[in-house]
Amino acid sequence: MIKRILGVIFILLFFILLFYPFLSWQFDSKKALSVAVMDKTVPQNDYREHKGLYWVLDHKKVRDPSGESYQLESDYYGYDPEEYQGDESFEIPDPVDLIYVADTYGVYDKDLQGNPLGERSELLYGGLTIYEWNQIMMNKTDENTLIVEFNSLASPTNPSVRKLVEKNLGITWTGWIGRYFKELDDGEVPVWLRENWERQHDQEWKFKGKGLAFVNDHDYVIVLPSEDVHDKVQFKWEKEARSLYPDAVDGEYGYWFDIIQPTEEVDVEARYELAISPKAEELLEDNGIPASFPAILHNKERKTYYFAGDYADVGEDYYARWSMPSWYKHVNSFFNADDAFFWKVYAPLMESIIDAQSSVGESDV
Amino acid sequence: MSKYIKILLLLLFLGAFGFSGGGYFLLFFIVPFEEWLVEIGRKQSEIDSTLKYFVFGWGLFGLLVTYVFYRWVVRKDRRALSYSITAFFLVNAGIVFYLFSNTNSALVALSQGEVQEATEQITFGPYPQKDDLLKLKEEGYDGVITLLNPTIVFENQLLKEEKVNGEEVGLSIHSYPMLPWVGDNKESLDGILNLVKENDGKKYYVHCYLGKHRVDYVKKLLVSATGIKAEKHAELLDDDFERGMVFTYDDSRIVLGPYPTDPEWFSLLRHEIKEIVTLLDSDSSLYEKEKKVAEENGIQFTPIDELEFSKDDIEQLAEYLQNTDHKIFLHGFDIGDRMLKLNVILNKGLSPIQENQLPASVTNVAYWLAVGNANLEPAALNKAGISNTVSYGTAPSADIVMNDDSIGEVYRVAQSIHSLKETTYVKEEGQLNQTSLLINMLNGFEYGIDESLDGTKVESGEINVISGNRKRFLGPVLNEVEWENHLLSNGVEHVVMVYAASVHTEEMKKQTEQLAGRFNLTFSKIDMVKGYEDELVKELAANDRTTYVITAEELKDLVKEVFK
Repeated sequence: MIKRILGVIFILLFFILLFYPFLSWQFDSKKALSVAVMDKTVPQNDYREHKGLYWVLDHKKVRDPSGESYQLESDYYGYDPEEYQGDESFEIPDPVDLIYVADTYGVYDKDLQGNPLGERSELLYGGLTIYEWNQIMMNKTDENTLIVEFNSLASPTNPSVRKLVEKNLGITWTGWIGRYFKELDDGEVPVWLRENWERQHDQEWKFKGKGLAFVNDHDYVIVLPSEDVHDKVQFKWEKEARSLYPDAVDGEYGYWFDIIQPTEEVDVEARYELAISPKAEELLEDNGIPASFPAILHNKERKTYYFAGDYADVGEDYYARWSMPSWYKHVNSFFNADDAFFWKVYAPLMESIIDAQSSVGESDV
Repeated sequence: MSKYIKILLLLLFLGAFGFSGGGYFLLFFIVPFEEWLVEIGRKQSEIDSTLKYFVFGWGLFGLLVTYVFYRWVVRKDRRALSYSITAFFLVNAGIVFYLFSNTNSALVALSQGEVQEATEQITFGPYPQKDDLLKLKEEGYDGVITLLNPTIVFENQLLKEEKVNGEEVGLSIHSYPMLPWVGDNKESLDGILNLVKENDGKKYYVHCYLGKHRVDYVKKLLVSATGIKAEKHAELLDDDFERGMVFTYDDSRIVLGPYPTDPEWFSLLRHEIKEIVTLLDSDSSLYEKEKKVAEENGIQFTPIDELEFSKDDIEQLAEYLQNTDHKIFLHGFDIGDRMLKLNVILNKGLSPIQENQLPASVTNVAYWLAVGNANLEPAALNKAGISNTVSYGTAPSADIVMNDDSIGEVYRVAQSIHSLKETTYVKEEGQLNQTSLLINMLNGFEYGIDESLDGTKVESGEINVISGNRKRFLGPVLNEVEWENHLLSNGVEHVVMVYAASVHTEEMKKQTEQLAGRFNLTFSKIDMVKGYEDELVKELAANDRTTYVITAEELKDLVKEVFK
């Protein structure tokens, strides 16, 4: 009899332990935050350019002022792949707690058909307009937070608009973007990148293995082949920033980034470091690209961030509604190598930013 | 009944009930319901996911009804009833098939969408009969894009007919089958996109069955993917034509100006002028030209070249213009004295002064004010048609007493004078020597700013006068001294700030507003966000005051577009 009771207790405990993270999340208090998100790069209905952000919002139980959770498919300003239409007037709720510009690269003709080769085609919708940026700046106060992420400055955003964004955020884009490729000889490398390089060097693209590619705003391409690239692009937190985002750790960044110079107004909280040969370092330096450059730029006074990469871009759907211990994020990063940056850096970073923003208005509901 | 007959009856019942009921369900519920969802602003994706349940729900309902039919009729061997019910639904299915296969039938016609010419290249609508195809061919269409789906029985038949008709008429039929509400139809959508892109310039008629759901879906895709947008903001009518000033009255209903150049004619025509009153000599070539313009555009043409422009003539002409109820454009070759005098009547309701009766030392301002230092006898003033005298100066005896001789004070005097309602002689009392400044301000109120202001460097940038505009110009935020030297001295009455939050600050806005308040200028702010152009045009067109538009130096070129 006792054995049976113990058995039942054991089973009950097992189930309680099993479901505890889910129950615990249900009992967590909700956070009312008014969030406005811009994502113009939604050619397909995977919403991947802002998916990471919505995972964090859901996981942190962030609710809109009416108590509803934010919907990945509809609660953003930008291109709607199901309607084949882009929004035209960015209406930001007033007051707003967080404005997030996830991507303004836009949607191109061939993107609508999948564009597996990454070919360039006619722009259908995209680029940050002065009207949108003015609207953002109108709603930006000293209390709320503005986060702008790559690619929101580069083409097709008009250079005059870019200059204003740079001025407002206290940053300067060097005109260069870059990316680490696991394999330079596969479909991940966009066709336009190969073609531009071939045209400029009058040679056939024969790169194999890992490599780094850089492109500037005049479409000039620099490729660092595998022998010059020792490792992936390293993302490293600055010492002061580690205390601000305690759960975020260093990692590797594997997608497009832009090379930004900070002004005195901003703190560089994290940097990219390139593990490359001295020869490659020299080549980059000749083109004005340092081997270490800012990844996260934060203006503490104005509460603005610039993320020099596609940080909210996540490929997979992850379940958000449970109390995930910090260590589990490392487990996730181990088993989902493509999203490792999301688990090691982005999710903990955004959780800290949301916590900080929530505490401004004591907005638990 | 044998087992096989029962099975056969059930299958017939299921098919006939599902098909006929589904047809009615589609016409009388789904289509109106979808229209309602569209009306209340639901997104297409939401509509699809909602209607998908109704589509599948109808299938389940059909199965359920079939089960009931089996359980209560067939299984109980109610032979006559079984046959009757099945026959009833079979007949019904036949009727529905007939109705749906004949798109001309009243029932279907009632539910059909309208033909919409979305762009010059693409028109959307319902299923076209042979006559419709013939008409399309005559109208220069190159092909038809059909979204009919051959897996739907009646659409299959219609598709076959359409292909035959297309061949006979000589129109190519491009079939891209789509299913309404279910599935993403990606393959067909991609195909349509490619077809239209690869055949740029060709005209297509795109249709589904009713010309509603599937067609709307494709319309959104094509309009988005081909970048066709008809967005254009409102246009400001120039107030300074090449041959002279343009004046507008009665909310721009009456336009008075010189003979327009070709682009100026286009601008006027876009402002929907309904009548042209011309003072040109009927023998001139320009007269013939404008007569042709009027005829081609269905505009009433009224020549008054015989008019002698006596006082009575001018008053009668003003009365004629004021009593019309349509947009009217009156012009001579240029803007001479007679037009400026007419302007006084239309603008102020006053009889213009006789400037030739005034001494040379007195300056005529806009034919209703005279400014000078001389003491004029009432008889002389009367002869010149002046009914009022006003003096200004620092002396307490002046009608308008100034605190000092600053620009701000002279501006205050100018405002007071400009608000008068009668022809007035304005005289300076004392030795202020501000007469020319006052005249400049009054001329600014009446006729706008001097072009020489263009390119004036100020602390935060440069002031620009845009060609074609005499009463509106633009530049950056100005400091107090710049306000006095460039705005007050030139008779600016209104300031509009095109507020770009990425450049301007609340502090700048507040300072500008305070300066406007201090000098008694009206001020308005327009946020430079989507659609601001229309608001700015409305603001500028709504008043005839000389207006300074504040723009961020970095965004000036964008704002200039509104003026052009």
